[in-house]
Amino acid sequence: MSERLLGSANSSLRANAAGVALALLFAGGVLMLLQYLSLRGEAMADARAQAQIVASSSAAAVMFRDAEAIAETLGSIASLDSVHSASIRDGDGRVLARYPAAVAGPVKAQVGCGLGCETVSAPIMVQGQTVGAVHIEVDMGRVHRRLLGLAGAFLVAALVGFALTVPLMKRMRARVRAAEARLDYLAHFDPVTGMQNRNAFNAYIGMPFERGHRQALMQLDIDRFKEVNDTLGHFAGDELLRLVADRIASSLPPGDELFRLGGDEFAVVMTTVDSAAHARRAAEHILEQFGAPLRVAGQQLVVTASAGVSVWPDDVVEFHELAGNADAAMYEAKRGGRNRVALFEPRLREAQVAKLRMQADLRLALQRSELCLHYQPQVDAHTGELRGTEALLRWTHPELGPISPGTFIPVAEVNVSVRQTRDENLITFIDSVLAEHAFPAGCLELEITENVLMEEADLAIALLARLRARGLHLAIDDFGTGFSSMAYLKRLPIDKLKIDMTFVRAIPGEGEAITTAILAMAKQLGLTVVAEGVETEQQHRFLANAGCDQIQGYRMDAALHPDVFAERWLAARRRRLHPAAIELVQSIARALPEAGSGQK
Amino acid sequence: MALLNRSRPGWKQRARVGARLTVVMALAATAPCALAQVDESRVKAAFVYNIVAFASWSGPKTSANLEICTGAGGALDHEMDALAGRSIGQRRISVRRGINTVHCDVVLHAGADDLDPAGLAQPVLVICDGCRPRDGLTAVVLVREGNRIRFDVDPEAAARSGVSFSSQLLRLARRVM
Repeated sequence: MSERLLGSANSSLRANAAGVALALLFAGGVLMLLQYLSLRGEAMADARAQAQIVASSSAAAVMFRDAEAIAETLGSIASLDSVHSASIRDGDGRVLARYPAAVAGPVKAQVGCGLGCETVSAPIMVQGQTVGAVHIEVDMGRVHRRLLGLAGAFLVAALVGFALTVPLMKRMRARVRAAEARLDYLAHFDPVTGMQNRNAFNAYIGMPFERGHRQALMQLDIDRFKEVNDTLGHFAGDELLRLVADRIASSLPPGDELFRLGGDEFAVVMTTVDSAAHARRAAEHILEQFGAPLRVAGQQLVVTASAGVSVWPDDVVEFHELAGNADAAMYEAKRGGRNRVALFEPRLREAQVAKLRMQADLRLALQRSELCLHYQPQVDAHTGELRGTEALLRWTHPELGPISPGTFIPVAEVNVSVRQTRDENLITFIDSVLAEHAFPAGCLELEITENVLMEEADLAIALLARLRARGLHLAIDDFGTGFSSMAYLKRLPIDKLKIDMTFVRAIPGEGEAITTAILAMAKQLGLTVVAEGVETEQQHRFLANAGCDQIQGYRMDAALHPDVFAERWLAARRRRLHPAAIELVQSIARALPEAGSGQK
Repeated sequence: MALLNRSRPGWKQRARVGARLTVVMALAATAPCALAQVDESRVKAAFVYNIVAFASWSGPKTSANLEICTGAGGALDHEMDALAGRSIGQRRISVRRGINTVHCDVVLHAGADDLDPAGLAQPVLVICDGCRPRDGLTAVVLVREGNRIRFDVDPEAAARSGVSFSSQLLRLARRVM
């Protein structure tokens, strides 16, 4: 690339130099022409004036044929430097006198005096009659010499100017070349790792050349990279990326290409694989490079990565389609527990397609009012009294029937989502909903998934603070799955933790230790804890004894249709719930009379 | 007179005639001593023509004709006749015999004793062929010097007669008195 730029710059410099030279030549030519015309005009005008003087003063001498007087009059022409020769002729063109006198004599009239001369004439008039003429041959040699002098001076000045300009142009070109090279580098290389970037990757996989033999694309993502960034800072994160890039690059055979696609995601185009199994082995070899700890910000870090591999032409027809496949395989590797390689399988594509279809169907479901809310009670772990209810979305497809929340909730992102943390209008929307239903903010609790907090910590904290300032309660959903640290939790403006049901289901057993730890931590921070997914009496008893404040799950009740919920839970406990909450649930029940009841 | 074209020529033709005249004068200047009388008269007539061409008459108005009264006698009078019909500037030359005429612009004589200054209406240019003494009236005297015809000029006499000459003419004169 640099050679191409250098070659192009040199030819550009030559072209510029030639252009400047041509411009100088042209300017010089025009200048010389104008100067020549000016000098010639001056010489001719002087000669013409002199001819007129001689003509007017020689009239009588010509009339009287006084040769001596004619010659004397013509001699006055000597005052004009540029005169080559001159003559006075009578009306028939016969020469009466010549200047210089050496060539005087009765010779025939000459016509012109070659390229070096110009001729001017003036008639000799007496009483309105022409009795002869004065002819002066102007020697243009002087004009030519002056012109040559000027041309020489111009040439010297032009050469000096050119000699000064060329290095200047060279320096400018060098700067432009450096800037172009820098732009080219920035456009195609990642400044953090020095590897090729996504632009280069897109260009590479989109190149329409004949690849011939089998190739594979591996996409790799560093596991839990965000923790490093959040814990040790972005500089350490960048350092880690550099080290990872170096390790990957050092493990690649010649011909393979490494790209940093952005964030902690890398791609390797494997050009020397002969089968999918070979590609898997190559990818595993790359992951093995992470075996040794990396020293970042003074700490030894053990880093793992998840990789997805797709092979051309086995998996796709067009080479660029590998990107989607390798990406899907990489997420499959992450789902499979991270620190592993997953080969692309057609079912992954089908899952992607199904996800897309789900998104489209969800949009239609919104339009067709196929979605409804069910309510699941949250009760006091010790007294069994109703403390609140979680609104849960249910979807009844007109053809497929009830759709499992596990299927569509990941697509719909029902909790406060990452996208919503960036939405400036979210607060306004919540305000308008509360105002519309005259619902006190203190009766509404919003849940935010722990993973969202991890991904968009700063944004999420700012949002939560604004929501809490309005009196809303905030809870962290699925707590225990997102690797929150104690220090991290202290920063969050929250009221409640919801222990993920995976821990509750592990009671009795290993879930007990985790649950106990969470409860102790929450107590330390002054947070209310609700355990979800409580299904057995044993779980209920353990949680109550461990100090859990509230429980939620089939042990108490399923998520209920608003009517059922109102009848079963509100009638008896009307006094314990805020009237507005009862009104809200009942209004929803009235608005959705056709929706059937379902359970989570 | 073969040198002068009696028809009314254009300016080019007139220029050519003038040029021929001067050629004759040049020939006269270089001719051998045995110059034929007729050729000398012809040259003198041409001199008169040329002198008139470089003379100016005072007064507010000049007539369309230039009257030349000649009393030089012999061949010169005859040659002068040949000038009739020619023009000098815008004026057409007419030639009359006899010098004591009131309406003459130019009087050409040969030392006439009967020239009556009182009889001449001024301005008038008086030219004498071969005169010696200054009579206070004659402005130009034609003289033969060797084989050349030359002329002397008396500007004062000319001025008294209301005539002035071009400096070019004076420069060509053998003597300016």
